Amino acid sequence: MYFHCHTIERDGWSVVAIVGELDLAGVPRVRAAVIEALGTHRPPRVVLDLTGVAFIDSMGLGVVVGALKRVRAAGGELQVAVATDQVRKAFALTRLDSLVPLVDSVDAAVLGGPGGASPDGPSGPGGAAGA
Amino acid sequence: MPEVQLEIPARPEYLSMARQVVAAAAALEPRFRDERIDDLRLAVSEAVTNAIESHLHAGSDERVLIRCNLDDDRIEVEVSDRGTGFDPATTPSAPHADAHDRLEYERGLGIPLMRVLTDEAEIRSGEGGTAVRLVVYTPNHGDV
Repeated sequence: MYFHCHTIERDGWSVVAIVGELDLAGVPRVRAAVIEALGTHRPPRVVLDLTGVAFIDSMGLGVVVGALKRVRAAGGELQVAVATDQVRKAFALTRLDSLVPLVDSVDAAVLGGPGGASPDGPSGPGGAAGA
Repeated sequence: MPEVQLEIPARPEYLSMARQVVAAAAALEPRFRDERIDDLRLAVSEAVTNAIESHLHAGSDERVLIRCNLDDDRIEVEVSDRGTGFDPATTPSAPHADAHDRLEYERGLGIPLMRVLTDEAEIRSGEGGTAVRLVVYTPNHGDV
């Protein structure tokens, strides 16, 4: 199975991009990438780019929850970009779409465009509705 | 009832293979919509994840068995492991997304997802291992 996880810096955000299917096999690499990204900006500003994720299960959702906990504990901000139907449905089924700030694209996350929230604007469960 | 069996090593990198085989088996029945196959794919991922983790925790190098049975009105998938077993009634689930401590839980979604994504989800577990049976019906199931 193809799986790739890498981090780029863009417009003041650390973008952790994941491509492939996110399950138990990929969780350690994503968790390590998020932890590494926490040290890049003070406070941390992290985008989890799941637009290239074709499949996610509860272990993948769990690593997103863990990322949100870590970023918030450091006083930072996390946004999660989702584009595929299966990933959207998984967030909706578990109600995590009301907890995790979802946006439609990385552009929306870093530029505050449609489906996203400006990093300087209000954030929170209601501020980044992109579903 | 044609049956497909797959045995996989209890290692995370084999999860995607289990999902692919089950989805391919379900796709043999044209009445299953893609969306329903996706539901089964996710439910199977949860069951196989639990089985793999059970073997890893027990230090077992035995394989995890996945059996698919395609019938006229359903697909039935059974995932069997030889782990230490658990009590599904007392296994903690993640709290509701609105709960103040929700971020403390990275786990606890697997069993609830299996139950919501399938028409039947049965978990039998004991000291000798666990068997999870997942059933998805064809759209016209129950029609006379």
